[in-house]
Amino acid sequence: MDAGLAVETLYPVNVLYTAEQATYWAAQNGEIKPACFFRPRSTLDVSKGIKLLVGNDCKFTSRGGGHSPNPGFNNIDNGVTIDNSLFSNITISSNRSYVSIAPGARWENVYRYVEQYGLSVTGGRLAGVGVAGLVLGGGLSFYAPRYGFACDNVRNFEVRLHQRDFSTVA
Amino acid sequence: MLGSGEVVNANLYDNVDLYRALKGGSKNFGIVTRFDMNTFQGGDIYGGIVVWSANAHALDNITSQTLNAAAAFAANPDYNPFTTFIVSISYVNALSGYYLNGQLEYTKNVTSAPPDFDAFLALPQVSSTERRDSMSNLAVEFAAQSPKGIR
Repeated sequence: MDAGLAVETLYPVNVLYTAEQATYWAAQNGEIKPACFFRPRSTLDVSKGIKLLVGNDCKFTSRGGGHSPNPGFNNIDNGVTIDNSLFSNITISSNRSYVSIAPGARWENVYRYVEQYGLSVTGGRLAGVGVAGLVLGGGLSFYAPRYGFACDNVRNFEVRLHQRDFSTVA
Repeated sequence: MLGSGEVVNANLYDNVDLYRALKGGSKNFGIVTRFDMNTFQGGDIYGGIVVWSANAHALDNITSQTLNAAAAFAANPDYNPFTTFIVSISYVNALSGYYLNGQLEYTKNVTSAPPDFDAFLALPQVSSTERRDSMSNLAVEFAAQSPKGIR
């Protein structure tokens, strides 16, 4: 994974790999041992990583906040886990009508950012939950009765497609 | 910059099917590298944690009263959209009983609970942290109540 990618990749021998496992909210996911954790910092990093993974027929998954308790949702045996926690920037639009959030951001950081402008968003209710998993799974917030699910308040998704032939995935 | 269509935008005008599929579609189609999320007028809100019992049993009065209040609240045809609640019952080994608590939120900048929560607040409680605070501070409090490593 390091080939051509100036990003952090954590292998089992690295103490940061063990530290990473400890950051999972659910023990059943923290105990899973991927071949490595690949930590992109930008869309370009993600894109190059996926190209390498798909090109080599690797199994992979991703994690942001690492909060999902569903076994296997955010970590993978015999595969690569793309860890987006270093890819977490938040930027408000010039007219302040929306914020652009990178996949590894957590809700506490998003709220503290928009609160500077007297604004809020339909985000998660626990500080450490990641933006990506919550939004892509629907997303309940305290504003739900007024604004709906978190996913219904996203005006645009920038997506790095898997571009995988789904018929060959087991 | 990436050229070959690997990175796309999905919204109401572009890749509309993908835009729809991502709402609940998790990571099955790709890795989302940016979420453009709508903002709205914010400010402090009213919320916190109410504990009705730290070691209830399933058949205790307080348990059924709390659940009845929750059911009535949710069934109310005049549900106030500025209110939300969570009632949770977790078995605690150390206490051999159920920790019965709730989070009552009112998304307005006020210092006391609206009348909508009267039924919940009339029940005898062990403690309450309900107050006016920022969404970020409330999220930190709720996260502290659900620490990692125990699920």
